[in-house]
Amino acid sequence: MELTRWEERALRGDMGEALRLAMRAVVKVGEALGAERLVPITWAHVSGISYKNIGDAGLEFLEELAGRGARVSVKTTLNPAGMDMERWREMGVDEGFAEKQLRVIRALARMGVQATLTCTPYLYGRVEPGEHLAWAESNAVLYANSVLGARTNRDGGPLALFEAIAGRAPYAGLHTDEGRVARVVVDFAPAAERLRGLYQVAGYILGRIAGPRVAVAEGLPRPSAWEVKLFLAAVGASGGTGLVYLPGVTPEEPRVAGDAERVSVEPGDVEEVEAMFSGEFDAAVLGCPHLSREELVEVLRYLERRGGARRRLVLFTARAARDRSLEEWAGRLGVEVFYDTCMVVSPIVGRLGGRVAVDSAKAAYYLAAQGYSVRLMSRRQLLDYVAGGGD
Amino acid sequence: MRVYGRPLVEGDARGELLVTRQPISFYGGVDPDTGVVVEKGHELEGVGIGGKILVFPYGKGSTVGSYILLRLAKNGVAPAGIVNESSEPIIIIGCLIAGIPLMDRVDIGSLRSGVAAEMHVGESNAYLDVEV
Repeated sequence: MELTRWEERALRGDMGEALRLAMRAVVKVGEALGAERLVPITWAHVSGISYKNIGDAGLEFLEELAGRGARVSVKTTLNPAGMDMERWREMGVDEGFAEKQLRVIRALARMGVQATLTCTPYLYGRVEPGEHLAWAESNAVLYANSVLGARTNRDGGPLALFEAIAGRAPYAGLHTDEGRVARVVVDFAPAAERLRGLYQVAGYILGRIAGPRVAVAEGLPRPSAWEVKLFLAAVGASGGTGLVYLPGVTPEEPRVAGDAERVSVEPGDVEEVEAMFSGEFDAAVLGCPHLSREELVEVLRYLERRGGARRRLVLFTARAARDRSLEEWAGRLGVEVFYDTCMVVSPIVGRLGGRVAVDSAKAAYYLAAQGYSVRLMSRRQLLDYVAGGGD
Repeated sequence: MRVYGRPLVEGDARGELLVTRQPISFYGGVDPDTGVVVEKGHELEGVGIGGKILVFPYGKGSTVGSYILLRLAKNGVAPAGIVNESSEPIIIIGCLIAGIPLMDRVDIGSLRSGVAAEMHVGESNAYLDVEV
């Protein structure tokens, strides 16, 4: 691999042990991916920070890294943690866990990471098309590549942290033009009628078809901003790809390989996914990915028109979207709002009785994997259930 | 018999080979406290990987898997070394932070479980010496 003089010095350890380790990690991964060089990045987003997953070993590793003077060299944000950093007690989190979770975030903050604790970094910062990023968190990676036209691989949590410290990513995969060539075209037209309002189901189907391949989605009506989020999050849950060309949404013209596979989605595919997530439920959770401020307002406005919530509804959003008046409004309507975490990485669903309705296929997939009873439905259906109509 | 591969994480290891043709997800697939494979239906289900030279085609699953390799190492139940057909970032980063020697581009079809082996991964070369 061709390295700049600065990169070589960093790799030798001339600028400290922490940078050496980070550079080594990035170079090793680059070699394995066949990268000829590294590319400077402007923004890293780090995932995998729940104490539940990384344990004491992960905590000690991060504290050691911070203690050895590791500092991020670019803007770096954080994915959600295992709890709301203030109201963790209400979520059923115990004191020991909370203390360790806090230490994880403190160690990262010492390295200069911003504790944004959201899976929607793309809502809270500007990214130009063609900008190189190092993002972990599949829904954010898919959004960056497919909606913003930025370039990032689907990195893992620790790799994104090393890239943040090194300020560089391997120039491979979705960073390159060749890596962004679509290998599969998915045509939703035959099932379009059946998929009305169900972008999350369309995304789940696409992810299963695409696997790790860059894909083009055809035959879908143009989604709204929040429908795009649900669609891409679902793609990330069922597939390994980091880029889907969505006509009318993706700023880049799709490049399609001459031998790309073409797959048609049939109504039966929709029914199959619905059947996977058709469990009983007696509460509802929204916010996978985290709700934007606009979505929060829309949800509350709808419930207000319907006279408030008659069934339990919990919303998840970013601390950056926090607003006292919105919180009070939600409270008046009987809706709970949590920050910094979500239904998948916190113990909230157990707290709610273990049976929930969701509008996110990603949440459905991960909650079902944890053994919970999950029903996947459209956002409108879910809100009607909460308001006490329909159902 | 000496098998050459591509060096990824430097170090030396000695141990019994534990070989599977199935990919491994460390997150959810291996108990971080015991080093026992817990993935349902995996051909290594119930088998401990601690101290073994673990041979599998490639990693799969969540990127939290890197931290699971680190937890295994801190708990003293990590593999002594890892040999892959093709290592991906989860395994590379995990081995790097856990200090587990790693090599890939090895034709694992010729390797058998239970055989004693020694592994050397240097900066520019990597090989596995297997008792025949």
